[in-house]
Amino acid sequence: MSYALNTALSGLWREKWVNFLCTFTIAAGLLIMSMALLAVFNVQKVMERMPDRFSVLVFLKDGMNERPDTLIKKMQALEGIKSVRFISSQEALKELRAALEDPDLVLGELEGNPLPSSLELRLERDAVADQSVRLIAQKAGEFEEVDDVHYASSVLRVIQSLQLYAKGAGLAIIIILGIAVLFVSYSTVKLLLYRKQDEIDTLKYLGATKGFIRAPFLLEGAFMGTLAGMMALAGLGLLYATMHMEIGSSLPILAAMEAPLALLPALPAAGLAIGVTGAHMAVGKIRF
Amino acid sequence: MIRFENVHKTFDTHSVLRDLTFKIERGEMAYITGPSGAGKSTLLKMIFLEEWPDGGDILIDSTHIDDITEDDVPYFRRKIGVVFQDFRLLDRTVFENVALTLRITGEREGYIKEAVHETLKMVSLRHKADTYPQYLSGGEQQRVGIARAIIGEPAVLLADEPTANLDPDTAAGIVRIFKEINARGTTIIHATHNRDLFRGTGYRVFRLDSGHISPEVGL
Repeated sequence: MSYALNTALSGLWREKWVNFLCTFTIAAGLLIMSMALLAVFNVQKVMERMPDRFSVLVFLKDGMNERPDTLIKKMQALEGIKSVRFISSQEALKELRAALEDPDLVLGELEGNPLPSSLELRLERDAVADQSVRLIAQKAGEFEEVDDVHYASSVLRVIQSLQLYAKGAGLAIIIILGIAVLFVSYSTVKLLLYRKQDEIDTLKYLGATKGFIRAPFLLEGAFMGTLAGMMALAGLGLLYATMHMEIGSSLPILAAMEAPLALLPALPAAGLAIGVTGAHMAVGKIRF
Repeated sequence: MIRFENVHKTFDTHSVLRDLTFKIERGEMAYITGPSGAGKSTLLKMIFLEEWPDGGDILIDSTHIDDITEDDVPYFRRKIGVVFQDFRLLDRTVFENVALTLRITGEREGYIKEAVHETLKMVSLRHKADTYPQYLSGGEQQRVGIARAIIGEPAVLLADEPTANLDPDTAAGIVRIFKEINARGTTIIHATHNRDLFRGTGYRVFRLDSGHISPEVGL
């Protein structure tokens, strides 16, 4: 083992520039792969939280300022409804004032309260989908006390297609880059093998086993892959910090992005796996 | 020790060895000679299992080579030392080149150190242990090659034109080392086209020509 380790380390040092370039390329690939993975992860997270924040607003006809208990019961009986909250016109105005930065500038000129009373419908998790939300809105709109029904249909559709396409595209990027990174690792070791063919032949004549010949190459691959994984992790950390501190203030969606802690060991482990697999493929079958 | 019976070998349509039958005894020093392309290297390669015959039988130390599996080849080769015309030294110190044979067999570091220095002393290169091959003369490089081949105490030493790139005096020095090794009981097969090396030695010489072998004595 110490022979294999010494040979691997001296090989890494002797071909340091080629090895560094290869390590850097694997790291870049892993970084892009993990960024794609992060995007998929965050879209998934948003989708998981969506049902809790998503609501359908049912606007009641003018003059309905008292809590309509019968209508609330009917709404609660609809399939997919988790809770129903009555928002009186006064309460709606209060909420609007709280939401506005300078409410007097916008609402100062208004006489009276132009806002209608409404019901806020919160949905069961499974019901938060384009089709079922549309059905709930349609049924809610059929009650005679109801004036209009609103929900963020475009947001719902965008996020759903994001989930579908981002997941697909993310997976495709991960697979394509994974193959590319593996190929880089394979090519580098193959190049080293061509350069070391005489050495390998000499080892064979001296009675070296396949394992003895292979071990230094696998160790070189493992070392380069792990280092590449750690470089990618550092790059990702740097990007993440930049996103939070620099760009996050102007683009809050970026600041809200999360990175799963599992990436900490996963990136070096993925680098290790890629390095060893590439080296193993490059050494290939040793024939005597 | 080594027996060839009706061995033949063809590369594409070119028949290199034809119906080869000969025997080399344990502890013997024998020469294989013949013009370039006569098949000397192919014959040696068959003994250390780099080439396999198309027909016939080869027995080495009573083992038929057909009974040796691919996984057994490395262990079998450890019984045979090989010295090459082009030395085939690695870009490491003389010590590391010679030690490699013992590292392959998994010897202890203490034993390796002792054995390498002992073997280098035998080929008069003890003082060059830390030198890299490119700073050695051709004769010195070949002596490192010999040290690497014999350090594992093989039963057989094969030398494929080991003196072809050396001047006559250096070549004579290499032959002297072979005689010393042979005197310790190692069977040696030395392939060379240089008749001066075996003339007057009394060793058995096998002459290869057009794929056929004919024994003679190095008188």
